[in-house]
Amino acid sequence: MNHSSVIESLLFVSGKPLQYKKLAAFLDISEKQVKEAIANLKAQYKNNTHGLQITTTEKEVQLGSLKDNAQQVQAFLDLEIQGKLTQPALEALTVIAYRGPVTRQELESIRGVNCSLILRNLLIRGFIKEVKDKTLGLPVYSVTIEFLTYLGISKTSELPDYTTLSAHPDLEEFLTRQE
Amino acid sequence: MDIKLTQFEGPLDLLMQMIENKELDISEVSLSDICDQYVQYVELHTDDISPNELADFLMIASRLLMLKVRKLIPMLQPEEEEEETSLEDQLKMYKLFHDASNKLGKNDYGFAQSIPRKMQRKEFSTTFQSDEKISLKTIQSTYQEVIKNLPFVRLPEKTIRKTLNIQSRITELRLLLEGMTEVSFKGITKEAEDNSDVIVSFIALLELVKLQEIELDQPTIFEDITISIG
Repeated sequence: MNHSSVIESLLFVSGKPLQYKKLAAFLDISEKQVKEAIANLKAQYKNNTHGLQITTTEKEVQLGSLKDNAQQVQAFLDLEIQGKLTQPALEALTVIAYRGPVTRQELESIRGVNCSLILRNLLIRGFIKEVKDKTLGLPVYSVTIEFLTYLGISKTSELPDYTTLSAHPDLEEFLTRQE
Repeated sequence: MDIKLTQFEGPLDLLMQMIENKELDISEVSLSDICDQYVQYVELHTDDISPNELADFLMIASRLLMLKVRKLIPMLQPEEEEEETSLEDQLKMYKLFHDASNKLGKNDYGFAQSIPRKMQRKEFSTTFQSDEKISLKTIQSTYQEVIKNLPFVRLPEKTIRKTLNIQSRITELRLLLEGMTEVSFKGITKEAEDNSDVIVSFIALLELVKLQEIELDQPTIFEDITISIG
């Protein structure tokens, strides 16, 4: 059975993010196989001229329109243009995208300022989600598929300079000393 | 050089902009040079900075002052190696993310760049959060307003028919009783179409009893009722 093909069909009909876990259970294969099949699918979409793209996070995958066609899709659906993100919101999202899952404390020590209001607004907008980290006993934040599709980024590791910023040696040292 | 409040978005951002405006690199020296400008700025704009951020601005100001003091009096060094991150490192770190956010912002067009097949509906909250403006009184007056503005209230049609029937049945019974002194209930319901018709007759009778126009007599239960003019 070609898992990539089946997953592609499921992504098409669902029209919303699907969890790897659910796909694995449904297809009775391992999550690793699901991820491989999706990586496969992603590569196919990248190399062809179709109008779709695949967006993934650590846990979910979604099929959507190609970002190159965003202008036409927006006009066709007559989507409301929301206000662009403010600089502080963008900054907080950047930290969360590169460092997520991240605690509020870490976010605040990087930005040097209280971030509770921004976090609340980003949660409302659906760009980040809050999960309680069991080992830390604290809520941690990470970006959602909604945020990635908003910017047209297909996964966090495609963010500019992701590897340098997500695990910057100075940053690690800086954060350890903060504790 | 004047930096307007709207141009920066936090204590580190302000600091970074001040250094960049002077075309300096981030270093302990540049930071202690900027100290006066920063402190003066925060003093001038205390009222403009939101209260929950003011503490963070003051924190940076105090760290700048500390740097400046150490520069002026080099002998004044902390007795032990400080564990705390230097402001210099923190600002460099901040700048990394600040620059990254500028790059990321170039992708922000104000609408989603990749849209799923069916637009996701916003999930509805399962909890009810009442507005402060809502009180029992406003609910009452709003409801009254709604009722007042209804075009008409449709009463159940069956009820209307029965009401009319009882009225007309009373008239019928009066006419019937005019010519005779006594009549049996079975007699007047002989031509009843259905049970509800019987019930209408019975209710009409009760109405007439209430008006003291007639008297009813039923010797035992379920027996025929004799109706006589009172």
